[in-house]
Amino acid sequence: MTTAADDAAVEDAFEAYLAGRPVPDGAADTFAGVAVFSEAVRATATTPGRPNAALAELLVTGLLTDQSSPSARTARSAGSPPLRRPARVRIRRRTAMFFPALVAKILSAGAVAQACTGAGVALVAFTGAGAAGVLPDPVQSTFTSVVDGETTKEAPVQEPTGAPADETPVEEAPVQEPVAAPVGVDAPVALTHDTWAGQGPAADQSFGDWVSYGSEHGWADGATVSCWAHHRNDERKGREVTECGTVAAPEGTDDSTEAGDGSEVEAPEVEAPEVETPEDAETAQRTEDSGRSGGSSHGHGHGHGNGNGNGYNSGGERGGDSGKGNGRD
Amino acid sequence: MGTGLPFDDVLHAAQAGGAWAFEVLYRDLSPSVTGYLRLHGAVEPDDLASETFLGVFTGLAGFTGDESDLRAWVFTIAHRRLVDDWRRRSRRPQVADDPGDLAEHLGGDVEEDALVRVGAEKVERMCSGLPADQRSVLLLRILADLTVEQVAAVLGRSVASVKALQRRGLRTLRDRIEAASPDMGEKVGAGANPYGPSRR
Repeated sequence: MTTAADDAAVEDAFEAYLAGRPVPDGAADTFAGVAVFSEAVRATATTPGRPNAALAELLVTGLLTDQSSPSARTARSAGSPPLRRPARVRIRRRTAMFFPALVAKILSAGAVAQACTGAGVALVAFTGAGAAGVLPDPVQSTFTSVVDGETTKEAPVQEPTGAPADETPVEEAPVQEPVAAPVGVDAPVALTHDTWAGQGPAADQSFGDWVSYGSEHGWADGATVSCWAHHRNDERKGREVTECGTVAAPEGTDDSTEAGDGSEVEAPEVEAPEVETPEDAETAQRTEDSGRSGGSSHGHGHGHGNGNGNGYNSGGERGGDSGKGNGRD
Repeated sequence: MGTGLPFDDVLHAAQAGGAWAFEVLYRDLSPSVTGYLRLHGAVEPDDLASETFLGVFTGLAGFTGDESDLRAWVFTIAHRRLVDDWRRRSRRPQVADDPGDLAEHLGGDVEEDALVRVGAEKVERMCSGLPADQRSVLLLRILADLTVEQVAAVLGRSVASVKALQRRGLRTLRDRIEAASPDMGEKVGAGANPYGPSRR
């Protein structure tokens, strides 16, 4: 039977117990059970609860500024795995992280590595620009000569494959036939310097073969090759083509390159202004366009050079920068 | 704090969203919060405690006060989560008919008996025999180390009401314990006072 005095004594003992003070002797008897209960209650609450997925994530990652409402995820059960972000979001984030990481990696590289990387990018950019024909004329001519020279060197390398040494002299003769055959639609044998320079590459002849043929006969010069390179590029881009033949071959030039019938066209002086005027305009236009076209070409070129995804993206970005530089020049 | 770290440093780091500070606070407060929810008969005390701390961590930037205030604030959120859970389940917390035979196993060294023989299950049964209001007051005093004023703030009651609830709760406990074991008090009182400063 409890009395009001006992209640007050237990209450005082309880307050003393919670405050860490000694329990009064007079209340020790009546407070014993409550003290046991209190200790047992504390003994049951010594281990942290198991956090659910949302809280566990919060305890690991902290509260970022963009996590406005993590409580929306608390309705999920504790054992369920955390939500995975959509694949597109992951790819976007990965792509967004890629360029800063790549730039940081390049910046953190040594001076030699940076120089090698820059030289590689510049080389690939130059190669791409040369292939696209957007380099300035003197540079483009030199580039074309070098490329054609390399192309010419490659042809004999592929020729002896699978051919025994005994058959080598036999196959030397046909080597020149495929070179002359495409041109020889009109005159396969009687191809002269004038027809070579005036007609340019035949329809089924590669530019390299045409240059190679001319160089074998001592006809190839930078002006003619450059002019036909521009001619070919103009045709590819659908622009008004550059007339060739009058530049490199003053004697008996065949200028009717488009017709391909060998008919001679007179009055090259009349055509000269028509040729130069659009060429000047195109030169200016090319200067404007070189930024964009050069950038995209550099990007592809570098990508092939590295042969992996990282290199491809890097090339594209850096190629674009190079292209802008050309455009300003 | 219980972890030995300066409370202000932990609080500032937690308000800035630091994960390590969250973990420090969680390890310090989670046992008592989870125990409070469990002894109140929550079906999923871990989930409720997780929701409580999610609310605490996301709202911590606007908190001002000392460690005792933080503890009171955390238990305020926990108690509200508990009440919401009760309402959501549309039923009262499960209350056992039998208040338990806590005293039948007691005897000799009271503290040893309490810590060794009185298990969590019996404690829960003892708590479930208390009315919810009295149980809340006693658990907030014992587990959360809150003052009467803080308990009043947590429960949204007056200080006098909390004192009355506490008095009635203690009486209920004593009656049940003495009814189960009339001679327990004599055994305890025979020796020196075992209820000196226990852990603080």
